[in-house]
Order: sequence, then structure tokens, then C-alpha cells
Amino acid sequence: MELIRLQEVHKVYNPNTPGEVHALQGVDLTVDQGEMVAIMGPSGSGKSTLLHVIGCLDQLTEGTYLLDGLPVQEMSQKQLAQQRNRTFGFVLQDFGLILSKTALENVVVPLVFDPQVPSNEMHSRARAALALVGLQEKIQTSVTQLSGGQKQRVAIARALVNSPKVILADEPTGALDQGTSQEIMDLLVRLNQEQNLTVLISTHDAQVASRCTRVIQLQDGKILQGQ
Amino acid sequence: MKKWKVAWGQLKENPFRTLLLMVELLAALVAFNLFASQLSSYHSAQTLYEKIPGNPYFCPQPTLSNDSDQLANLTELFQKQYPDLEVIEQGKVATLQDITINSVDTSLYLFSQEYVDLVQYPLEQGQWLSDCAPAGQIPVVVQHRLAGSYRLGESYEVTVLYGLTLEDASGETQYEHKRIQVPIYVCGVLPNDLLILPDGMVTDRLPGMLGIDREGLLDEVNVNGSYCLAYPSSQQDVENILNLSPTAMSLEEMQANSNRIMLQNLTFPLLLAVAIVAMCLTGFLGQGLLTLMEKEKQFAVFFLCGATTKDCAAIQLWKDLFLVGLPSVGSIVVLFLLYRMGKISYFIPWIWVASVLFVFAVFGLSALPVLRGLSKRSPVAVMRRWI
Repeated sequence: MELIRLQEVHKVYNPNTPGEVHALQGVDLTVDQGEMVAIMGPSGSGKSTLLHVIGCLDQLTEGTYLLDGLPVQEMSQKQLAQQRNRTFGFVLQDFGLILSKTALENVVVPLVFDPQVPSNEMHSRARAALALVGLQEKIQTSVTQLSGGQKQRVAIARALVNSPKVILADEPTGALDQGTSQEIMDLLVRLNQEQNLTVLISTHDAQVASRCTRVIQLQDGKILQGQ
Repeated sequence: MKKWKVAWGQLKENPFRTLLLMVELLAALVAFNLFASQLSSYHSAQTLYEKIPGNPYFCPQPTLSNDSDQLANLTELFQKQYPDLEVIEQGKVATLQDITINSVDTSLYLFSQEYVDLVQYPLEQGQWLSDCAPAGQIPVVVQHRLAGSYRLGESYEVTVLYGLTLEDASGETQYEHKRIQVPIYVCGVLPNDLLILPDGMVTDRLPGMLGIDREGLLDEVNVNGSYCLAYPSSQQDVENILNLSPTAMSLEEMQANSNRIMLQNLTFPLLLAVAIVAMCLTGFLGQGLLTLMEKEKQFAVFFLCGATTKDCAAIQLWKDLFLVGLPSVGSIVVLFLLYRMGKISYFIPWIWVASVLFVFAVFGLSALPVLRGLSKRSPVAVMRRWI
């Protein structure tokens, strides 16, 4: 089932200025539910921008974006925030965690902004998400005391806690050693297979890309292959 | 409602800093309101001056004497100062006076009927010096600070010291003073500690009550009026006063003197309030600026997880409510207790509300740059700075 469709999508930063940048140029892309897609390309090719546009963190300048059949470019800021909260889960290269909080407190954050989640269910859901990534014994541990791999697991748990349809991972293994990278990829593959979760990973690591069912090559904001 | 938990969690991240801020805020609110109380007292005094009749009614003054010293006669002095002075009665005169400022003895200032009719005090409770007292008791109104000890509608006996000048057949005068028990009945309570004394001076520094002796219960006392003059309570005081040159001040001079004293009393509270408020404002704004980076970073994560700018503003608002609200409640408790204990003359609710809102606005200002920036930039632009 088609989940994401991008048609002739352009993203321009600083338009009509000397610093104008065409980050995405006429991108056409479809992603079905349950796919695990790697987006590869050199630095500056537009990988992160593509993920940001797909994840409703940034808005396209031109083109059409259908998310589960709904036109994203017509959504309000509030609706875009709801999509970030309920449809997507984000995993970032440097984890994107609140360092002054515990693992549990970080994982709870998306549930705070979902009015459909009762207050008394937040902690139980967060515990379940941490158990899913194998961190049930680190619930009350401060994030600063966790290893890189554990931090990334916490980030993945946060991305999963609100049962999203899509996980968007921007260089999720970029700050990890090889062994830990392998563990993180094993986790993402398991989630993709067991829960039919759609996973999009931006990476320049061929080994990471090899774990995915499809690889998209991006260069200078254009898809070269795999769209 | 879940956002208040996030806000509370942010405050708990650094409990020492949070507690320090709250204590500073509590001190600032109390100091500012204490100053406001003193200032209100001063302004109320100005209003009361307008109620004083142009020519106070005086009895002939009492005289001081001992066995060998010359008597000081102030009547001529007063009549020189007040050409229109109306002398009500000559002859025996005494005042009821005890200037010892302690918790045992309280000054009782007796007015004449004419004075009572002319000067209408605003009251917090009860009624002015009317016929409200049972027989055999002197109706009084008490200062706010005394209301806890002398309750409305109750009877008491107060110990007062009075001086008495007696004239014998040969024209020699003698001065005596002694303590007497005076039965009083509390008819009313003044809204503060300001008193207009029989000589026209306005003060809040002396503990006292105002009364009128219509039944002549104090038969040794001239009930047609009394002076507010300092009377000695010891032989040393007698000698000290005798060494002074008798002086008299006009009504305007007395009021100016009273104002000067009250303004002097305002200086320290003003300086204290300014110092504490300045310190706290610096602390608040500094704290706000220092935590700007922390705030923006956390807001970036919130955006990632589906928050809007309004969500972030709501969390900030809850945080400010806790930070300002808890000390505000503490300050109103402290100020109310001080007022009930008679340590301050005024507790003015609207000034307290204004001071709380002012502090709240300062906190809001410190968060404004962050929130404005968030509303203008896209979430990814915010995140790119920190994540």
C-alpha cells in the first residue's frame, strides 16, 4: 500500500537571494508501507532535506506530497505537528536527546504532545517502548550515563512510543562504532519486519544500505536511481 | 494539562537554582510591599491633615515643677503662636499621658466634644467616639496595631500615667504625676496606625488610642481636652525637660515636622526595596538569558516530537506560573501575618497583585526572544542549531 508519494518536489533555501540553494530538484518518489529504504548520496546531496520534507519538519517549495493520500502542502502548522507526533518517529545522528533527563523522561516526550494519550498511560507506554529496544533496566538512568549505542536505542524507543507508521533515521549510525552500528541496524530491521514499520534511512554507509530492501541514490538534489 | 508536568520537570532539573530564585522573588515581593505600606501611611497622613480643624482646642498647659525650679508656663507661648487660640478652660488641667513605648502602657489621648465632632476618622471597624460605651467606661478607638490586644466591643483597664498641676490658695502650683487605671470600651478600630493628636500632629510612631470622657470618670482630669506633651516617667526625665527651652510650633510646622519624620522612616524601606528588586530583576533576567540556550535546545526536541510553538509557550507559561506563583503565595502569607501582628500599617491587595504581575511580566520578557524566534523559524531551522 502506497504511504508516501512525492511528485516534482522542489526545496529551495533563501530563494531570490545570492545565497539561494536548490536542495531538492524535481524529486519523484513513492514509498510503500513496510518498506525499508536507504537514501544514499554524498554530503550536500539533499538526503537530510529529503527526510525533513517527508517528516513534515520542513515544507516543500514546489510540488506535491501525499502522505497516506493526504496533501501535506495544504496542511496547517498544527496538522504538520500532529503528523510529526503520530505518523513519524525520528532518529538522528547525534541522538537528539534531552541530556538532563532520564531515558524514561526522554521517551515520554512525544506522548506529552498527543492529546489522545491520557496522562496516566504515558509512563507505561514509555516503559514498553524501552523494553522493545532492550533497555528495560535503564529506565531511570540519566541519558548522560548511557553509551552511544544505548542513547541511540533510547532515541529509537522515543521514535516508536506513539506507534508511528514511519521511522525516519538520519545517519543513525554516524556516531557509532561498527559493532554498535550493527546492533542498531539489527534493531531497525527487526522493527521493520516484525511490525511492518516503514523505515527510511539516510546514509553514506554502504553496509547500512545493504541491510535495506531498496536503495535510492541522490545527488545534487536529484534522484539518480531507485525512485 | 500534561505540559505542567514538563514545566515542573524543567524546574526540578536544577533544584538549587530554582529554590534560590523563589527565595529572591519572595524577598523582592515582601520588600516592595513593605515600602508600599509605608508610602501609603505617609499619603494617608496627608489626607488626615485635611481633617484637622484650623485652630486646635487647647486647655491651658500643665506645668512642670519640682521643689526649687522655676515653672515653665507655655500658655503665653501658645497664645503668641496662635493669636486665634481659644482657651476652653483655665485652672486645673491634666493630661493623660504615658509616652513609654512598650507593650504595657499605651497612650490615651482624650478629646473634647468639639474636637470629636470636628474630626471624623475613617474606621476599619466599629464606630467613631459615639455613645457606644457602657456606663462607667470611656469609649475609645484603637490603632490597627493594637486591635489584637484591644478587641472591638470589649472592655479593658489600661494603666496610664498622668500629670496634674494643682494650685493652692496662695497661688503656688505643684505638679504631680501618678499612674491610674482607666476603664475603656473599644468602640472602633482605625484602618492603620495613624493618629491625629489633640495638638494637630499626625503620627504613626506611638501606640495609642483616642477617647472622650463624657461622664467625667477621671474627675481629676480636665475632660475638655488634653495636650499631647511628653511627660516624664522618671526624675531624670523631669530634669532633662526642665533644661529644655519651651517651644511651640504652629500647626503647619508640626505637620511639616511629622512629615519629615515619616519621610525619614520611608528612606530605609525604599532603599531596601530598590536594592532587593534590582538584585532580583538582574537575577531573573540573567537566569532567563543564561537558560535561553537550554530552552531553545529543548524546544527543538519538542518540535521533533510534534510540539507547536503554542505548546512550547504553554510549557514556558506553566514554568513561570510555578516560579512566580509559589513565592507570591508565600509573600501574601508573610505580609498578611505582618499586618495581623501589627508590624505594618497597611496591606494593600491591589499593590500586591500589581507587584506579582510585574514580576510575571519580567519572566515573560525573558522568554520572549526564544518564543518569537521559534514562531518565526521553521522547526528544522530551530533543530539545525541544536540537534
